This record gives sequence, C-alpha cells and structure tokens, in this order.
Amino acid sequence: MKNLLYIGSLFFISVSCIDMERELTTEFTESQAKTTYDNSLARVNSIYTDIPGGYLQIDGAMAAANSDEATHTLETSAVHRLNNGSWNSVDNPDNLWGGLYRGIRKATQFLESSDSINLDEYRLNPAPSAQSVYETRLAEITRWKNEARFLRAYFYFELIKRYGGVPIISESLDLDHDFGSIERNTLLECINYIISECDLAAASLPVTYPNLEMGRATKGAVLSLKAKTLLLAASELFNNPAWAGGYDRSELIALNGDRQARWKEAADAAKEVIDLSVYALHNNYRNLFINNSFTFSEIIFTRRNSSSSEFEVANYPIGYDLGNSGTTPSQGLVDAYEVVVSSTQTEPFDWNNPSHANNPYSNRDPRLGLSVILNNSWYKGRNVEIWSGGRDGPGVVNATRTGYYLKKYVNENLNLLQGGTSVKSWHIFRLADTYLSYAEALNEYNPGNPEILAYINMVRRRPGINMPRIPQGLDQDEMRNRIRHERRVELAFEDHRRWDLRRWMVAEEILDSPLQGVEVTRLEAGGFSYTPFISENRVFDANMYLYPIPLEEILISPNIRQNPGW
Amino acid sequence: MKNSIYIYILLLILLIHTDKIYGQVIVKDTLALNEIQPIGFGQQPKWMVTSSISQVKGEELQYAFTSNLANSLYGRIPGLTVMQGSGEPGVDSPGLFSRGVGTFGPGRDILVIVDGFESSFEQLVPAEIASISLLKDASATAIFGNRGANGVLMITTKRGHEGPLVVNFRTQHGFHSAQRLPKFLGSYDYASLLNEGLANEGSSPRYSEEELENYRTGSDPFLYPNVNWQEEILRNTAYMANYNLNFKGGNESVRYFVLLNSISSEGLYIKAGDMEEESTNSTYSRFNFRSNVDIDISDRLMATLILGGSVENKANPAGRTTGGMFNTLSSLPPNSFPVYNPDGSFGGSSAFSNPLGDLLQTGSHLSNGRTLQSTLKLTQQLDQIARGLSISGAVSFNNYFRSYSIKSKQYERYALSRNDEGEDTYNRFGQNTSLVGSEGDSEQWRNVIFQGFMNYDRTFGKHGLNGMLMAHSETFTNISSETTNANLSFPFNHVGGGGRFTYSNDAKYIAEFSFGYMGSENFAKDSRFGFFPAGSLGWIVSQESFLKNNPTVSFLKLRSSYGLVGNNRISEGGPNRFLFDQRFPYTASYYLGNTNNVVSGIAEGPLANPGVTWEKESRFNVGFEMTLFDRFDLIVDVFDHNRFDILATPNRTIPQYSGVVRPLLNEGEMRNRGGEMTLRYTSKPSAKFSYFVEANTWYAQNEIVFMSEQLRPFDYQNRTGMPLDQPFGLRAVGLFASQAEIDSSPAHLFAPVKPGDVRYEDMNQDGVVDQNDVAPVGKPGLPTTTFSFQSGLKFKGFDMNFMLQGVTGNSVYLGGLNFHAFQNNGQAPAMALDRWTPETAGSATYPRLSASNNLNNYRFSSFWQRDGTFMKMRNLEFGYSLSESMSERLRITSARLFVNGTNLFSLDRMDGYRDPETGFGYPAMRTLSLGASFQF
Repeated sequence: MKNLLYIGSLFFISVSCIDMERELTTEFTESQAKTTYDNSLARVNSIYTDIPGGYLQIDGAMAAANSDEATHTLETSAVHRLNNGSWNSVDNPDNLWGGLYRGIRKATQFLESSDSINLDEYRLNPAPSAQSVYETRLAEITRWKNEARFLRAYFYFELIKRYGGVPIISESLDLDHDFGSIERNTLLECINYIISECDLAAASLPVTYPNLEMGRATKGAVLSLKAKTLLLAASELFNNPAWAGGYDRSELIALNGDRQARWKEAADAAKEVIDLSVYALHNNYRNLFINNSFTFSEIIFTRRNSSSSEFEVANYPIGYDLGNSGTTPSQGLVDAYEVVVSSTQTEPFDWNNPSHANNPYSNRDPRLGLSVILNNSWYKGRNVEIWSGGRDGPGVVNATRTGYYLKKYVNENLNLLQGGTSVKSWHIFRLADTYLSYAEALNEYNPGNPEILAYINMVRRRPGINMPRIPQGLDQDEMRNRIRHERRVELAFEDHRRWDLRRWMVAEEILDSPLQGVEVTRLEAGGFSYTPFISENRVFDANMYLYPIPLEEILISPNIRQNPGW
Repeated sequence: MKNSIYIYILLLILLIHTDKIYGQVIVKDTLALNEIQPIGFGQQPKWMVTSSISQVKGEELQYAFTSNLANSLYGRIPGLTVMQGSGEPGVDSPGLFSRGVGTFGPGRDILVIVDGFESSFEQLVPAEIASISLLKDASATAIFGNRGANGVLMITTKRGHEGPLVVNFRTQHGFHSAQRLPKFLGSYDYASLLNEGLANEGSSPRYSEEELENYRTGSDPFLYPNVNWQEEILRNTAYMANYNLNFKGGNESVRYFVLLNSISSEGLYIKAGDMEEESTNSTYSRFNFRSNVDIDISDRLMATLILGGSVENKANPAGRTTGGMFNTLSSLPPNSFPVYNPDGSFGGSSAFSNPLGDLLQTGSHLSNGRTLQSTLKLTQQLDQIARGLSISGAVSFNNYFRSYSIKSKQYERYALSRNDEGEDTYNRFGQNTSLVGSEGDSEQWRNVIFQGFMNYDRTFGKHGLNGMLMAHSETFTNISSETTNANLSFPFNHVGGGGRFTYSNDAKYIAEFSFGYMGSENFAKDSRFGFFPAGSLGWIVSQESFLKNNPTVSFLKLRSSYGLVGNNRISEGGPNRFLFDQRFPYTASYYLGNTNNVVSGIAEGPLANPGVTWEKESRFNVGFEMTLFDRFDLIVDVFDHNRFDILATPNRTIPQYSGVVRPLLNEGEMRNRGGEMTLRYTSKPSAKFSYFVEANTWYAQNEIVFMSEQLRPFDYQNRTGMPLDQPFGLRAVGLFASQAEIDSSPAHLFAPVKPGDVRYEDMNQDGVVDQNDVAPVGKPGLPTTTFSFQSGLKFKGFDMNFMLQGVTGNSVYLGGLNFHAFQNNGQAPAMALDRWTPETAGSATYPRLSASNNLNNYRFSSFWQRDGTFMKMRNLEFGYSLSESMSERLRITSARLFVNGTNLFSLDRMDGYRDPETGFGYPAMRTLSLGASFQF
C-alpha cells in the first residue's frame, strides 16, 4: 500500500511541476501606465476624449434637434423620443451620465497617481541638461494635473446642468466599495466644488500654449467654465424650485441665499476671461464653425476631432450626393433673425406683415443665411430646391421636414463621392458666448451699466455681420429680452438653447409648443410662396427641467434620490 | 515544462525496469453484456457504466458518403445536435453541440478527444473509427475537469486483434450536386418587377416597353442579356471518389491496424483550370494513413503506438473567396451584361465584375493541410506490488498545419452599349495584370500532451474494485499568420489530473466516484486549479432474483449521476484572456496642436476580476436501459444542467457613477434541461432475413436564468428568461391592405408605408412602431429537438439501410440578398413574384416591391421567419453481398456491392427557396454513389 502512495504522489508531483507560474503581459500594466512619463501623458490625453462631441450627439441628431431650433429628419432617431415625451429614467436618448463619470474617474485616477511618475532617470543624473529636463517634466506634471482637474470640473458642470446635484466621487472607487451608501451632493456643494477646482486649476494653467500643444486646457478655459457655472447657479432654475412641486429635497436641485451676489460673481468671472485680452471675435462668422476654426482667437476651448465626413453625410440636403438631410432648422429659429430696416434700425420678422411674408428671406440678419440653407439659395453648385417636387423638397424620401437645411457647421466644399473629409472641432467656450454671458449677468445686478450694451453690440457688429446697434435706453426687462434673443441667434445649434431655456425657466412654454416648418410652393409665374405649418408637436413637462437619474443607479444606490417628477 | 518531461522519462524507465512478473487478476465474465465501452481516459464493460454515454460504431458512419467525418453524425448519436454548414469540400464542418448549449459565454464548443487526446477529428475516415462516444453527464465528464462542461466527443480508432491478417478494400464513386440553390428571376421578370418597384416609389420606370419586349423575346442576347449566372458558373454534378485499404491482424505479442485512404472530390465550379491555364479546377483531395500497433514487450509491459495522419489539398479557381463568389451570384442581376461581348471580351459593369471572368482570369487559390496524431503509451502491470495494479505513461503530439498559395491577377471586362449610329461601343473596367503570388498565409494548431495513469482493477469474490488515477499536462497553440494579438499566440496550458473509483457488488449494484483536478494559467495564480467531483449509482435490476430469467425483461439497469463540471473557455477573444490582471489599454485618440495632430490615449481598461474563474455546471442525470424479449431495447435519459459562474457584465451591481469600465464577473446562470430516448428493435438473427429499426429523439431547452442584464425600457425586451440566442425582431401582423388601414394603425416610423407593406405590432402601445417594439420573435437557430429514424434489413445477399433525421424547435430567417429584392442594386428572388399588388392583395406572400432597400419591409421581423422543422433523408443504401460459395471461388472472404445516396431529400417549410440548414454561400450537397468492398 505504501508503494501505491509513492506512485500516487509521483503523479501529482509531475502535475505541479508544470510551469503554471508564468504571468504574461500583453498590455500596459497598472504600474507601467502610472509610473512612466509617456504613458502618463497619454493618460491625460485620454481624458480629453471624454468631452462630449456635440455633432451627432443624440442618435445621429445634433442636440439642437432637441430644442426649438431644429428637428431631425430620420423619424427613427431617438431624439424624437426626447421631444415627444417618451423618455424616462430607463430610456434617455441623451444619457451622458456614464460617459461623464468615466471621464471623472480617469481624471481622479490621474490626480491620485501622478506623483508616482518615475523621473529618476533625470533626477538622479547630476548633469545640468538632465536636471533641466527634470525640472521641465516636474512642471509639466503639475500642468497635467490641472488639466485633469479642469476636465473633471467640466464633466461635473455637464452633469449638474442635466441632473442638479450629483454624487461627487472624489476617489476612484473599488468594486467592493459600499455603493449603497452613496448619495447625491447638494447643488450648492457641487457648484462650490466646481468653483474651487477651477480656482485651483486657473492658478497654474498657462494662458496660451505653444503651437504643438494648442488645444489643451488654458487659464481662459478654466475661467470660462467658472463663469458658465456661476451664471447657471445665478439663473432662475436653480433659485426657484417652484417647478418641482413640493419636492422635499430641494437642496439637491436649488440654491438659497443672495442671488444678486451670484450674478455679480458670474459677471466678474466672465469679465476675468475677457480681461485676459488674448481672445478676439473672429471676422468671419461662417468660417468660425468649419475647418481650422480651432486656431481662431475667438475660441477659448474646443473639443477636437479627427478629419471626417460623417457630419456632412448626415446633414447635406437629400438631393446632394450621399446627403441625408439630418438636423433641419425650424421656422421658429428662422423667424428669430431680425429684419434690417436701415443701418441703425431693425424690426422683428412678422408673417402678418405682407412685405415680410412675401419675401421672407430678404434683408435679414446675415447670420440667417450663414446658418440656415434657405430655399432657392446657392449651395454646392446649384440652387437648393426645397419646393414640393424639387430635388430637395417634399416628395423625396427623407427630404427636410421643416423647409430648411442646416448650413452652420456643415462644410459645403466636401466631395463625399471622392471620400473628402475635413476637421471639425466642437466649440465648448467661445468669446461671443462670454460677452453675452457677461452682459446677461451684468444686466441682472447692475442694469443700465453701459458695458451691457457695449458687449452685446460687439457681438452684433462682428465684421461681416454688422447688425445695427441695440438702442440706448432700454429698461432691464427689455434688455434681458434683447440678450436672450441675441444668444438664440448668435449661438444657434451650439447646444446652448435647450439649457438656456431651462435656465431661464421658460422651457415649459417654449419647448412645449409645436415646432413649425415652412411649405414652399413654386409659383407658375415664377417665384415662391411660403406658408408656415406645424411640423411636429412637442412635449415638455415641468419634470423635464432636470433629467431623471438613470434607474439602474438608484437600484444600486437607493440613497440616491430621484429628481422631481420622475 | 522541462521538469515534467524528466519525470515522465523517469516514469518510463521505472516501468521498464520493474518489468518482472506477477499474479493474475481474473475478472469473471459475469454478464453477457461484457462489451467494452470507452469512457473518459479509460474503458469499462458496458454493464458497469453508470454514466450517460451514447455511442455510434464506425461501421454505421460508412453509410454517409462525405469527405468530412462530422457530416456522418447526423442523427447517429443521441444528445449530439449537428448543425450542417457549407457543403464546400474541405470546409464543410458542421456545428456540434452536446445537449444543446449550456452557456451564453463565448466558449460553447464541444471537447473532442481522439484516442485519449484533444485533437480534431473531421479529417478522419469512417473505416478507421471503432466508435464515437458522446459523454454527456457529470459522471462521464467530471474527469475532464474544467474542460468537460460542453460535453465530450470521444473518438476511438480501430486496433488490431489477435488473428490472421484481414485485408479490407473498399471503393466508392459518385456524384454530388447542390441540394437547393437560391432561385432568381430572369431578365424579363426582373426588369418588370424593378419597374413596378420604381413605380411604387413614385419614380419613373427604368425599362421601356420596347426594352421589356426585348428581354421577353431574348432577341438580342448582347444588349438585352438574360444570363443565369448559376448555370454559367456551377456544374450540376461533380465527381467524388474514395479508396480505402486496411489491414488488421496480429499475434500474441503484436497486433496492428493499418489503413490507407484516399478521397477526392470535385467542387461545384465549372472546370476553370481546363479552360484557362492560370486558373485551376476546383478540387479537394485528402490522403489518410493510420498505423495503430499494440506490442506486448513482455508479459507485463505493453506498448501502444498510434500514428494517424492526413494530407489534404484544396484548389479553387479565382483569387477570391467562395463566399464572395456566391455573394455575387446572389446579387448580380441577370440583365447586367452578357457573359461574353460580341467581340469575345468579358462583359462587366462598374458595379459588378464578371463571375466567369473571376473564375478564369483572377488566378487560383490553393491550400495544403497536414494533420498528424502520434501517441506512444506504455502500460506496466504491477501485480508484484499489488494485484490488479498497473501504471502507464503516454505522450502525444498532435498537430495541424495549413499553408496557402494564392495566385492572383486582374482582368479587363467591358460594358457594351450601342450609340445612335447603331455601332457597338465598349467601356472598359479593370485592367489585365500579370499573375502575382502570395505564399505567406498559414494556420496551425499543435499540442503536446503527457499523461500518466495508475489503474487498479481487481475482484474479491462479489466485490469488484476499479480505481484509476491520472495526471495530465497539455500545451496547446493555435495561431495563424494573421494572429497579431499576443494573448492568442501564447500557448494555452492545461495541467491536472483525475481519478475514478468504481465499486460493483455482484454485478448488481455499482457505485462510482470520479473527479477531475484541472488548472490553466488563464486564471490568477492562486486560483488556477479546480476540483470537479461526480458520483453515480447503478442498479442492474435484472440481476435481482425476482427478475432473473424473466421472459419479458431481459435486462434492466437504472442509473443516476450528479456532479460538477467546468468550462474554462471563457475568453475566446484574445483581449479577455487574462481577466484577473488590471490592464491599461489604448483608448480613443485625441487631437492637439495647430495642425490637429493625433495624440494617443491610455486609460484603465475594464476592471480586473482577480478572482475570475471558469464556468461551472452542476449536472443531474437519471436514466435507464432496458431490453425486452432480448429484442427490444429502450434507453432513456433525463437531465437537468445548471451552469453558473458564467462571465457577465454586472450591469445591476456596479454603478456608472463609479466611472469604471465594468469588468466581467462570474455571475451568469443558465439552465438546460432535456433528455434522450432510443428505441430499437432487432429481429432474430437468421441467415435469410434479419432487420432492425431504431428511433431516437433528443431534446434540450435552455434558459438564461441570470445575466445581470441591463435595464431595458420594456419587459418584453429582456433576454433573461429567454432561450439563448432568442431572435429579437418586430412582430409582423401581415401586410397593410389599404391606406385606411395604415391611417388607423400605429405610425410606422422606419419609412413611409403604403398598402402592401409589412405591418408590425405596436408592442408597447405607444402609437408608433419603432425600435422599442422589437420583441422576441420565433425561436433560436439551434433546434431544441432532433429526431432520427433508421432501419436496416438483410435478405439473403441483399441489404438495405437508411436514416431519416430531422429537427424541430428552431426558426430560419429568410433574409439578405437571396430573399430581399433589389437590395444594393441586386437581383430579385423568385419569391418576389408573389408580391403584393392591389390585384393580388388577398393572396400576396411578399410585400409591395421597392426598387431599393425598403427600411420598413426588410427589417428583421417575424415576417421573414419560417419554422425550421425539417426531415432529411440522410442516407439510403442498397447492397448485395456475394454468396460464400461465390466468394470462395473468387478466393476472397467476402465481397459487397452497393448503391448509396447521401442527403437525398429534405421535407421542410422553405417552399424550396433554400435549404433549411444552409441558407447562403456554397450549398448543401446531395450525393449519389456506387461502391464495392472486398475482404481478403
């Protein structure tokens, strides 16, 4: 029997002798990623990729199609569910929750580990050249940390704009973390957190970068984020929880305290950006949104992209090669562009005014023709035919449903058949927005301040636009309306509108109204007639002021309180 | 690895040196049922088997005339679902599933063991097979440890025997042809229907009345061609032949089985190589050899040497894939261009190349594959230590290598048109180039396996004791010239062992315990090994006094087993191989600088799962085997398998606000239940007339119990609770009859709908039909039930044998180019003739025609699903054996002539539009053949 045991053990010795000890590595390990200089740089770069892109943001549609600016041609696009009210905490077509928190984790992880980057190669080398590399790299690492800090604050800004107060996750959580105990931070805590992070980052980020590094977070970007956050915090939505119908956790969705002070802070922050004096309005409104616009001095921060034709394929009018109509401007937006009466005077467009209605596209704010493709206008080598029976009009499958096509952002000069592409960057902060934000905040706590008119007129007087100045002597309400109007026109399709309407707490009226288009008829006698019609109905209930927190999150963390009405 | 080699060498030396004497173990013949059943790493007399195993003998496999052994298994092995694939010789392996599929993870393949070692088996020939066994329950598979959960298919090759030399020669010649090819319309119908589709879309017709008339009359085959490209490219029948020669025999000390086999099969393409030297005929040929030798080196020491191998050559015309060619045949409209233009050049267009030109003018595609299986096993009786004890050691090298030789070139083809003056003008596409060779492609797998065994087999009076311990180590490499992922090119190591202990009492009660202890380095260091135990009990009721010699019940055995098995193939894709380790892969790139330079990004990948482990499955099996009146056999098995620890994304436990990329955790569960039944009647053996009939059916229904599924907007969208691979689509409720019906129905958002379009159910009743109305439709592609019916009879010298096999419980989807008219400027299937028009509204079975991809009608929906039930005549053979006296006169032992049909017909619900199993690409084949076999 003993022998049996010997032989038996022999088998199992042989089993355990096989080389099962190996550990293979085919991708960077945690320590490789965190301790080397090159990989750390790549880790910072990777955080930038989590900035939402903006172009085909909601199931192939621009975010503008989720506002009164536009709609989307393909009926199956999920953006329509946002517009007609069939969305909820399980199915939200504009769900950026997870993606933004992904970016937050990347940034947090970077901040946690950036001190472990191994620079011993230079630190321990007494040669002056090595020491200078060491110093440079130390400084770079500090800068990277502040880039990460800024990006993380920006992701939180995008979150609170959608959800109100959200959980501030200050460390990278492990799988065995007690997720059940996580709660939402109050709105005030979130705002304060973003502001304090901005203050930290702004202190050490450069105002400009050398050419090769252009595009990274600058001091101006950080200050812009701060200004936008303060403007949001001062606005009606976050100071008046009346819409929430007796929600018992109003601290999650609203602030208390001195609103005037917040307006002042917002104005001061915007002014700080302006006073950096490195930004200037660009002289060509159309070019500001295509090609190399990321180099223009109006751009404070932009989300970079590769060269592509995706957006043009999606948005060229249906009658052009490979075009799919995509996101099409609404009549409401078109009507918002002023009619220029003289070099000093404008009037609102009015369908009841026959001279307007008969020639709806003449003498308009030049930004109309630069942002919207109008019927019978010249585009890509021919006139656009949006009339019934025309090459781009009703009757053609997937033709525009509003009577317009998108012009802003779309690069007219691509030959899609030959695979042409162009670089598109999505502007997060640009100076015109800062001017208008400054004017808005100023008008709230210091109406009549001459800078209000000065900055709004600067936007209107951009070379090539040259709209008549806004007259003196408007009262605070009139001025507020002018500023809001200017934002709508100047910043069309830039994904400001749906947030502005919420911020001002007017979305319940405006986003709940039907979206209009125009029917174009070609007259036998030549010329066209234009008749506005209701293109689609829209639903906006009060609870939509904030997005619902994804239900999965609440099931995992029951202490996360859902937003009102969801 | 080196260490283990030394230890095995040591073991072998030990074996040889202890070669002395000793004692005799006498195993009493207690039962007539002493036939030997191969089991995992061993064998048992059949009566002793307490696990669920089904088996087919090699002889039965000869009834299917095929170049792929797996294609002879249809309906043969209860519990084994065989899914027919392409019929192209050389690449026609079917899918094999033991008791269906038990996991939603990626590793669903059955484990194939040839003579005790993992290897491929499709290249073997029936004549070298002793038996193929399917190991199904825990008791049969636990010994394979973390590799047994998908079932084990065990192939045993033939061995020699003590006796005079027996020579067998067999040859078979036949023709195979496509069972069904997709049906398409001729030019006139095509053009008329395209006009109709255009009219339906509000566009003007493409073809004038005059042009249609030209197509109808076929008066000008050049400008108005009507080409049936299938006829131009494919042959009706292709030749296939097999020769087999084997020798079997031996004496006391040496026994051998030696085989040579040659099979060749022509492909379905026309003989392009005969027409154009730079092309080649489509052929497949394979040579198999085998030499299995058992040598008794001494009374106590036995050596077994197994050598089996094959060399195969495959040639295809055209430097393009078979799939690509059949894709063109499915899309090229019949009127696009003539085969040849009037000036003799190839027809062609900007959109399509000329399929015949592709065959003749684009070179050739050759491959050469080799397999080798070689095993040496030494067994030493150790009766001097303990009676009935033996040890053995084995080493096996198995490999497969295939290299490709591709010659390619391009050629000119011309679009013909006639100008206003009536002159022919030619527009050239493509250009002639010279032949370019490419020899770099290859693929291979290889493994090296060491095994050591200790067996104990002894009877003490009534008590039988069998014990077995084994150790196993394997290194497996599977790569091709396209493998770039280092995770995949590193060899896979499997190390472990197992054991089995069987106790039998009076050949009446049997208890067995077996286990596997297996490890692989795909898991974290301290959790690489797993223990998989199984127990089984058997009770041979017919041995009890109350049933002994019972005239009705000749044999009755009840058995049951329970145990744990595992599946370590949890990361078929390379990136997931080492899930226990945290990785930081490259992410999307970003762009910086004034010239928008690309910069790379790195970030934390999916969170590591340090405790990642294999899938486990608890298996319960209960069954009985019964023989009545010595003639009537009934075998029934019922099983309940519960797979757990399947890798799943924890959508419901890890919040998104953590910002992690969710890891794969061992959380998933699946349940699989079913059973098998065999009924067989064998007539009394008589010289004049004997027969058997056998019916089998097996069933397996799986269900996803838990997969940590993401929250879905509507409950009917959940995968949990559904069978694996449940199709999700729109539910069609017929065709819209009128505009009024459309107006009163939920709005269909995919495209503007008109009468004659497919109407769908608004599942969530929100007034619109959109993506959210996608719900379970039909059944998965894998059938739940297979049934087979076979019979054989012998009358004097004549014999007949057939097998009908069928499945049910699955759905077939009629989609893609073969069914959806005018997609991507493609052709129209014959089915489209039954389209909806206002006149045929009552009887139409095909929606309103569209001239392009109709986004409403061609959506994945139940409209295009058919019940997948079918029954196929898998084989039918008539034979005549020469009488003994005749054979004697010819100086041979026996001779038989036979006619065979394989895959003769299919009864199904496809209306002839496709084969119920093979829907696209190279069709399934039917074979008719003549053959003769001789024994000397």
